[in-house]
Amino acid sequence: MPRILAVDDSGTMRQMVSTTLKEAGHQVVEAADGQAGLEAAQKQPFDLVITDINMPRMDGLELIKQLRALPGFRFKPILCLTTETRQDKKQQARANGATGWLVKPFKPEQLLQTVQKVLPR
Amino acid sequence: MDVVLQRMTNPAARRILFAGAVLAAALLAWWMPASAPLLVLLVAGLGFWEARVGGDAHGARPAADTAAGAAGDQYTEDLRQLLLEVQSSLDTEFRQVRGDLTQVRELVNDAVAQLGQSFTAVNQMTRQQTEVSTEVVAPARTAEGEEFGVRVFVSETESMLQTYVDTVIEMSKQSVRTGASIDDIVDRMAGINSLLDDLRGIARQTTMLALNASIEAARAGEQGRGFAVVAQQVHQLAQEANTFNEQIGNQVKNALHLTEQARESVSTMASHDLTESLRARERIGQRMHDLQLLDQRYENGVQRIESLSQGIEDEIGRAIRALQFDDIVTQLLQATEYGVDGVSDYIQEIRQILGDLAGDRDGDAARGETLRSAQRALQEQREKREQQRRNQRVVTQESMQEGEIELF
Amino acid sequence: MALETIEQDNALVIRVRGDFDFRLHRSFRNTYRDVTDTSRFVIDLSGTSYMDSSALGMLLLLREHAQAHGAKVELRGVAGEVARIIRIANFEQLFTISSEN
Repeated sequence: MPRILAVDDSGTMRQMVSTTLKEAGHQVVEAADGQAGLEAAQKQPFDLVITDINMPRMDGLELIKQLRALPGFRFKPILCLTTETRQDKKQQARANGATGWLVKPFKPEQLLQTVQKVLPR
Repeated sequence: MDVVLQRMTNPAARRILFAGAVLAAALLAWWMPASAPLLVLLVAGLGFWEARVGGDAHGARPAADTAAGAAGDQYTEDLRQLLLEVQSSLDTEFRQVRGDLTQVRELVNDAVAQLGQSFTAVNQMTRQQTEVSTEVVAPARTAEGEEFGVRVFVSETESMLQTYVDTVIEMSKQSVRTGASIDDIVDRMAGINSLLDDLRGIARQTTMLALNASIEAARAGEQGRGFAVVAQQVHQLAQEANTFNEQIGNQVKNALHLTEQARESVSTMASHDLTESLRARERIGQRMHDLQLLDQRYENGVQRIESLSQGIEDEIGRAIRALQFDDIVTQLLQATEYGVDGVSDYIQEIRQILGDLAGDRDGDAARGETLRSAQRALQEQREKREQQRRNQRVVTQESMQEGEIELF
Repeated sequence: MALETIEQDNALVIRVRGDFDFRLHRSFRNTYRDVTDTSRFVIDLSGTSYMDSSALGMLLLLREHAQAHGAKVELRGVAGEVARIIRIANFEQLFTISSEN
């Protein structure tokens, strides 16, 4: 059962992501910001990280950078799920090592398809 | 009109008016950045007008100016109070709006969180409901994994009935065959009877012969004595043969009687009324048909439940997409709160300028300098805000259509 | 007479009237026991009002006789109650059956 870390400062978003992924049989751990996400990732391994970009304490861009520095996360897929539509943010996320960029709101089946695509088989 | 004109030609009043115009322009520029160049022109025009009319007034009528000074100060003070009042009202409004915005944000967050939980629960319950309905309709199984239930029972009964019918027919066939054998035996018995009749005739003739021999022996006298003994014995043998014959005849009669009994039994064994079996089988057939209809109904029901559940799942999927408005709206509300804070800051700044203007009693040059520096300060603040806005998150979503996906 | 036999189109037609039961077993056998040179036995049941299991047994014995002499047995005029009895006995698999007279 794939383990997924969902990072978002919106409780609703965490719940929606979590519900959608659990429906499909994934195991989901939630974190309320980049800092909490990083701490969770330091404690246990994940097969995939889905993160928001604009968050208090530590934003998604910084989280991606920090995760890529962790030995267990160098090649793990990291998806950004954000309200942000600005190209410069997207490019920065890509430069920091993000795997994909999803603009909110997400459609549950499309999120699942994307997750299925990036998860290692 | 005269009063207004006079007030407008009063330098202090013009000063305050100009400051008010700058304030309005600044606010407008803040709300609608596109109108900024127009407003700059407008403010510049007003500034030019202020400089010219003010300059003329000073140059041509310095005495009148001094005379009007006291009344002008009063107007200045009134206008200043008016603008301060406006500013204070706006301040209250902004505080109210700020509070409302925060409340809206919290209410939306809370409501959406609850809605989300509801939808998740509905989804789980729908899935369980589908599972239960499938389970209810699925055939029950024994511990060995064999199906059981009414359908199996009926099917087994039907097969038992068929076995019974087959057995009855087979038994009838064998009984009819036995009946035919009995007929053959009876025919053979008739043969024995006719042979016995022949034997009886032979015995009768033998008796006659013995009788004749006895007569002839008596006639011969002493010489025929031995022959008479033989004739007597022959007669005896004929009589014994007759007795024997009779015994055999009786045995055959008994056998025929027994055969008749056997034929009766065989007849009973062979003759089974199949009408009841026929009815039973037809009833079973009807039950099977009913069960098939029932199964079909169950199956249709389950299919309907499954398709409804799929529908509910799809709808919940849509709800999950729509509920994300919470996050987007929260960000928009935060941006709005930030904007309201910005307006408050502007107002604070303008209040400062008004205070400075009201305090300027050192002539037009000083007032002009105050206005110019105030304009610069406002411009700086506007630029600062624009810079901050650029760094702020941008929410461009205008509907709850799903966003784009790009994999790098 | 409950039983009537006719030679027709190289077939021996046996017509059974009224009740077809054990009482007929002897005369029924007598209609065919000596017939060994026909290719078809046709049992006309159109006048049969009732059949019990012994009638089915008789038909099966006739079938054995016919098979022993390379002939076929056909049931004709099978309708109503008789048809239902024939069906419950699964005779469709053993005999050629027609509802015509």
